[in-house]
Amino acid sequence: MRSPPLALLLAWLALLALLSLTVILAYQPLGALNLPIALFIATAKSLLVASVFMELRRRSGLTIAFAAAGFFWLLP
Amino acid sequence: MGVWSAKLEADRLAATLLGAAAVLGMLFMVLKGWKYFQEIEEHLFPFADFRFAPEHIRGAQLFFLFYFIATALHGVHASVGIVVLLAIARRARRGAYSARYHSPITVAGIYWHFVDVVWIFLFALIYLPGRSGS
Repeated sequence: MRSPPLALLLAWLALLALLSLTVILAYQPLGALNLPIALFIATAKSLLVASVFMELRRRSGLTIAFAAAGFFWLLP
Repeated sequence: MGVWSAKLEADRLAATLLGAAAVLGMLFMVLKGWKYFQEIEEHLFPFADFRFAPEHIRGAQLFFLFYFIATALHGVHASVGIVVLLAIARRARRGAYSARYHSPITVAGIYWHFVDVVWIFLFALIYLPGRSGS
């Protein structure tokens, strides 16, 4: 059997690393910067999920545009 | 991974991976339910005998209203995802999918990851702020 796709495993490891980073940084007294940093890391994590797990990196510009529109609609 | 194994026509592996995702989802829901139970015990459910330090009670009630609405909405989507994953796993075990036909697994996977992305943001907005005490 073929070995599992490396991209999936790497993305999963990167997500775990980013999760550790965001939890560690949340405990540092950075004042007003805490929330922007947490949201920046959250955005990086969701871009990883969207591109690798949701397979958007293999899709055309039109599909990505529609996915982005769906995400934009979700924003409050 | 489920999509990958279905493309390889590894039916049992696909079913096992999809089932494992559903079990992890159920574990998440159990932990969430446990947290809800604790919060209700601590009188943190808004407008139902809500108790908090008087100087912050309005803000705290607003936070917990947002918290319960957002996490419950996410919980509903996660529950739907668990049912979908279990149904797809059952069909995969019966050999319903192949290298040519596996779009239900792909679509279920995309939905499951959408629920995941929502949680990534809820985690950053609800659980991380205020940890540093600054």
